[in-house]
Amino acid sequence: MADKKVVATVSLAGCFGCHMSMLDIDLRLLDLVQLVRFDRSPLTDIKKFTERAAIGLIEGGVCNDENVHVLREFRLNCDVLISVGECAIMGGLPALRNDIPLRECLEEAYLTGPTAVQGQRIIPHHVDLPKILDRVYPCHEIVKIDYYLPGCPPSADLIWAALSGLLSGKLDTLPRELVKYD
Amino acid sequence: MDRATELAGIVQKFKSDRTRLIDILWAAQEREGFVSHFDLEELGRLLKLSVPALREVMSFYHFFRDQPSGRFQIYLDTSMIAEMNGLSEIRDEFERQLGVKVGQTSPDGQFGLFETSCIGMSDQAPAVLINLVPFTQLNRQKVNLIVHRLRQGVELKDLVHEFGLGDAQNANSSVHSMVRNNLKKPGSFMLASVVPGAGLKKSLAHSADEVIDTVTASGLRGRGGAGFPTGKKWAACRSFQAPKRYVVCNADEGEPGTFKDRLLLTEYPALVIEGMAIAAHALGAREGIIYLRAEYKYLEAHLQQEIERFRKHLSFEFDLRIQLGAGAYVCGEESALLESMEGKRGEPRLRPPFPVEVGYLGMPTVVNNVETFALVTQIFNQGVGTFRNFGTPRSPGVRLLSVSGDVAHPGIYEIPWGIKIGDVLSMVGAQNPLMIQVGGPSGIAINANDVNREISYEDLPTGGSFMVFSKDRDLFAILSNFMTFFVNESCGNCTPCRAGNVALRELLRRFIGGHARSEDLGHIDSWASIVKRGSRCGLGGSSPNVLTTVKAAFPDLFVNAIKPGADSLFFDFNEKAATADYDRTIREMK
Repeated sequence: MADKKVVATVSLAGCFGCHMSMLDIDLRLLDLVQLVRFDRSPLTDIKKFTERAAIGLIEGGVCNDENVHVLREFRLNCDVLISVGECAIMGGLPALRNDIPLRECLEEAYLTGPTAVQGQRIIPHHVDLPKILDRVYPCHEIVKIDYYLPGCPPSADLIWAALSGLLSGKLDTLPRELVKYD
Repeated sequence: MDRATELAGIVQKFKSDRTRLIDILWAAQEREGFVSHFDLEELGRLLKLSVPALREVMSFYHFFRDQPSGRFQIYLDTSMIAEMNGLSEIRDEFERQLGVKVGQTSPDGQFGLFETSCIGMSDQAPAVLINLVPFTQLNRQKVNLIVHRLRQGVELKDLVHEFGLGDAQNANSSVHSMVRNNLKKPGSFMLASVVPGAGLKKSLAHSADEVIDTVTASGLRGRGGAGFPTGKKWAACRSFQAPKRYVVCNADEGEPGTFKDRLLLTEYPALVIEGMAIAAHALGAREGIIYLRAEYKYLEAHLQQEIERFRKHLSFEFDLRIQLGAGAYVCGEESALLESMEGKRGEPRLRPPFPVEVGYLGMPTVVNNVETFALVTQIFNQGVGTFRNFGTPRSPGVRLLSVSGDVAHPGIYEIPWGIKIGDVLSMVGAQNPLMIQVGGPSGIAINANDVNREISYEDLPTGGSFMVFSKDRDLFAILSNFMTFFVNESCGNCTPCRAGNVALRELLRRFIGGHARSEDLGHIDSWASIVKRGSRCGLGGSSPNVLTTVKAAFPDLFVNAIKPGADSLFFDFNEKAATADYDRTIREMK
């Protein structure tokens, strides 16, 4: 259908939990695919934007230079950009490393941690591998973010309410019970 | 004497009373300059309090230390006025001479260098406290001399002498300080015709109710800043039935830029004590307490002497003692002050009930400012009519103004309420003024062009601080100093204040650093509203004022700080800088 809106999604420094939550809208998925077409997204495995998107959903914060590039690409190609979930909004769990020197993080991950290969003394690095940033940033410190969906993950109902509201042009305030967590 | 016996003696001296914990901690800290873990365990055992409970209280106050912090503990006053008068030079000189950075103690255990908020010396900045002895109007040479002399083994007392004693009572042996009064304009009411005992005598000729009626009729409003009608407060306190009532004098003059209580306590303590006695008569109170901020500890012996001296005027039982604070701005808030007096963290209480109903140790308590008590005395001494000759209908009488900043004559002025800003500026010799902060960082910023505005509850209320900033000053630097002050002094109880002031400072830094966007203007307003509405006491209730009032008085300031193109969808992000750490780490680990 020609009037389907285009949606793009990505998981930066996230755990894909927010994407899982999106799939959790269950039968409403059928309604959703009537309304939208997914372009660049892990759901379609499209790696480059093929057309301009109306909505971009960002899961996860920004922890390496590739995340920066992808996020900028999303900003360039999406009319509306939404930070989905705690990591995109505030850095989340990955941001716990922000107070630990990078060197210690790398040592723990590749040399001394329980999952490190015994006897191996190599920290992976290559021009093709992303460079880790000095700290994990929330998305809105890199590009302009239009909306925020809080939660870890945001509930399926919240994602549905926001998406369907935006798509129908009738997005008002989101119900309090969907965004209240304490 | 071994340490355990010594601590037992201290606890015994205060009758194992936990509510005297601040005094007990001061006494415990006296010997070594810090309270060790061993001390805390002993004190905990004796007072039946856990070590964490003791640490919880101790860590609240600037001047309690739980690590060796030097035989001489130097506290730099970091107020804006100090910053304008060479704080960075004397900080640098101390660091250079002592070989330590701020926050550290020299390896020989002789010197600790720390920072604290305004110590009430803005008319003679920059100043430091060394073991709570003030050293004022410092510069590099003087810092050099201080460190040199202390290393030679010169006593602080003798060093003060070498620098030169201050004027009037400051030179008295009971004060022995280099502080200067800087009373520039004594005025014709509060500090005029002081006759010790006269006001009290006149009040004793009347019944308690009549005394309260007189105070009410005078229209006197509390001089701490909030301006609550004193007569109403007293009447409320008297209306609650209780076995005991207390009179408390709030001498925790912490608002940056105020130092008028310093003058009253140095030169006119009898006026204050007498006012407390009048209040005691009116309330039927038999005990009074002066909560003296630790920054004014150098006045403690002097005050104690004056209390003894005043006893001859007392015809009824009225016990008065001094409670020393330990460094916390928020303790100037009356319910926080009561918490502190009860040996706890100085966190403001939820109200109601108000202190007039449930105050010190649960009893009805009147807490008034130093200046309020002095005025009560003079109202009885000189009459309500004389008092009401000054001021405006809603702001009767006079008040003391502490003037600092870019003026020819910083110091203390007695002014009638209702005085025009323009008149104050010419009186104090303002130099090319740009902005005036009326009432300290928690007050209101105005444009110096608004010469027709007046100091009164109708227009610009103030707790006495009046800071003038010239056109050469960077308003952002001033705001930054003030917001850091609030971040440091928030007690942390209410999240909107604890986190909101940090958020406001971050927003401010975006403007300073050139990263601000148009929507940040709105963010300032929304955060200000959250902090003001979500905080239980006046600290959070007023801390955002300085940002919002500067923004209103100088609308271009913030707008001009937004760089062209800042509203692009792509923000400034220096990728190279953000990955430099990674590149270096990988190089090093190869």
